[in-house]
Amino acid sequence: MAPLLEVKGLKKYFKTGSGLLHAVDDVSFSIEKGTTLGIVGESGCGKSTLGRVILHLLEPTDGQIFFEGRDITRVNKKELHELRKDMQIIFQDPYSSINPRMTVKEIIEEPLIIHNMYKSADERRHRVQELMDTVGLARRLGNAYPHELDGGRRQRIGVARALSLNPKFIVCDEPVSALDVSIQAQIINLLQDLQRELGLTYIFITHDLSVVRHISNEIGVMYLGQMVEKTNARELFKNQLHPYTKALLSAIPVPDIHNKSKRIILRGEISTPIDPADECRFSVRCNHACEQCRKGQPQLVEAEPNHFVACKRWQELKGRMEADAPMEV
Amino acid sequence: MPDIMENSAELKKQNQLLEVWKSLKKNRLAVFGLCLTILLILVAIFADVIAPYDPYSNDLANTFCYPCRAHLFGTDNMGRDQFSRVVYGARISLLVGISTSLFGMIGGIILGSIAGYYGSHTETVIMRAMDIFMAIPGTLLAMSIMAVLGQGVGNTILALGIGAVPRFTRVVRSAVLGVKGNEYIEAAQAIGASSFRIITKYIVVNSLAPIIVQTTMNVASAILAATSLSFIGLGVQPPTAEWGSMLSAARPYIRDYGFLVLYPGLAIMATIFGLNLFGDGLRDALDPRLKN
Repeated sequence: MAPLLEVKGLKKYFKTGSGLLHAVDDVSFSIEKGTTLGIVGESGCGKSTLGRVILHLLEPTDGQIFFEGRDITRVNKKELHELRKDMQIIFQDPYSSINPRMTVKEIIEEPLIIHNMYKSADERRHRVQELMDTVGLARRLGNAYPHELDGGRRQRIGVARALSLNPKFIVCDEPVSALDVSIQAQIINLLQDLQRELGLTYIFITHDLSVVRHISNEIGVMYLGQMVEKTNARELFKNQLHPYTKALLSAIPVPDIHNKSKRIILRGEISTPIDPADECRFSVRCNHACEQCRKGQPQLVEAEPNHFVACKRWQELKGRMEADAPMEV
Repeated sequence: MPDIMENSAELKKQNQLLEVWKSLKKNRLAVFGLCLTILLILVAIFADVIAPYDPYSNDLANTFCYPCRAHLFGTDNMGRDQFSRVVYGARISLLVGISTSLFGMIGGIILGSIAGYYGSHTETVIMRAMDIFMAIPGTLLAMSIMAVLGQGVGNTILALGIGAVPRFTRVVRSAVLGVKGNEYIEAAQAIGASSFRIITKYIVVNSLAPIIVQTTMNVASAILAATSLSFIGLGVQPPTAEWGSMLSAARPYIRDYGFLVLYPGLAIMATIFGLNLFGDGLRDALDPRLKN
C-alpha cells in the first residue's frame, strides 16, 4: 500500500543576516495511513518548521512532498485551497492559536464557511454542534469567548477546528506541551480516540519523550534540521543506534530510587544551524566523534530492518556503547 | 433556545465594553474630558434651539456690543450675536474633526494593514511614501492641497484627511505587526482563509484599540488645524460661523474689543482639552498592560 504521505529530501532554508539558516535539511520519511509518526528533538531542531513546510504554511526550498501518491511540492492557489481540506494542523499554544475576538462557535464554523461546505446556515450550525460533541466541548460554551475557557477546553477548540474539514492528515505541533499534565492526558486520549474512529494519520511533534512513546507508531529523532534516527517506537526505546538518541533517552527520569541509570551528559551547546560545516552536525557534542565524523555528513541508512540511522560509526558503537558506557554519570 | 444563545453573545460583547467603561470611569480627568466632549456634541446637535439669534443676521445698530444679558458673548463688527456664532461653530468644528479623522482612519487601516500584513517590498513602498508625506509640515501640506482644490468645508476635510493618513498608517501598521505574530493568523492560513479575510476578520479587529485612541486624539488636532486654516483665510470662509474664521475676522479689533477673540478661543481650547483628556483616558483603559 502506498503511504499516505511521503517526504523526499525536504529542505527549508531561511535567509538571515549572517548566512543561510538550515532549518530543515534533507529530511525524508513516509507515513502509512492511520498511523502516527512522532518527531522528537530539542528546541530549534526544525521539527515545527518541518510540519509547517509539509502543510505549505512555509514553502519548501527543495525536495518533494507526496500526498496520496500525488506530488504536492508545488501547488497553485486553487490546489492549495483544496489541499487544506485534507491536511490540518493543531497548534502548540491554545492561548495564541485562536482568535480572541471570535466565539467558540464562530471559530469552529470558520473553516466550513471558507470552504463553503454546507449550503444552509442550519446545516453548518448542526455540524458545529456535532464537532463540539466529538471533541467533548459542552454545547453551552458555543457563545463563549476563548479567554473565558481554560487551556484544555481551548485546545479542544483547536482540535475541533482542525477536524471540521474532515482531514485525512493532521500535524500536531506540540499540542499538549502548553497544558498541565492532567489535561495533557485528556487531549492525548482524545487524539487517539479520533484516530481510531476517523482513521486519521498524525505527525506528532514534541519534545516530551513519554508522550511520544505513548502515541507514536514510528518515531523520528531530529537534530539540527536533520533526521538522525528513525524506527518504530518500541525499537527506539529498546535499541538506540545514534549517540544523540541514546543521550536524549537517558534523560528520561526513572521513578525508582534504586535505579542508578547512567545519564549521558552532552557537552556544549547545540551548534548553529547557520551555514553548517560539511560534517556530522552532532560531532561537536558527540562523545564518540572521531576523524571520519568531521569529513562529510553521514547518510540516513537502514542499519537494521526498518531502523534508520545517520551515524558513520553506528556499527562500532553498537557494541561499545553498551559495554563501556560509563561516560559521565 | 437560539434566541437565548444570541442574547448571551450580545451580553458578552457588552461586558467587554463595560470593562473598558469601568476602568475609564476611575480616571476622573478622562470623565471630565468625556463630559466636555458630550457637551460639545449636544451643543452642535441642538444649535438651533440653543442659539438665541440667527448667527448670520446683521444688526448694524448694535455692533461691538459688550457681553450683556441680551448678547452673552457680545456682538461683532456686523452686530452678529457672538454666542450664536460660537454655538453654530461647534457644528462645523465637529463635522470637520470627525470626518477628517474617519477619512484618516479608513485610509490608515487600508494602507497600514496592507503594509503590515504583506511586509517586504509592499511595506517599503507604502511606508516610505508615508514618510515623505510626514516630512512635509501638516499645515503646509493642507495649505498646498487647499490651494489646488479651493476653499470650503469639504475641501478642508479632504486636505486635513490626507494629512492624517500617514499617522494612522503608522499606528495601524505597528498594531498589525504585533497581531501578525500570533499563531491564530497561521491557523487562519491553515484553514484556507484568504488574505482579505485574514486582514479584516483577524488582524484589524484585534488592532482596534490603538486605532480608536488615535482617532479620538486626531479629532482634536483636526479641529485645531481646521481653525488655523480658517484663520489664515483658507479653509472655511466667512461669513460661515466657524471659530477660526471668527478669530480671524476679529483680529483688527483685538485692542478695543478683546472679548471678540476670547470666546471663540475659549471654545477651541475647551474642545481640544476635553478630547485630549478623553483620548488619553481611553488609551489607558484599552491598554491591557495598564490593567491591575
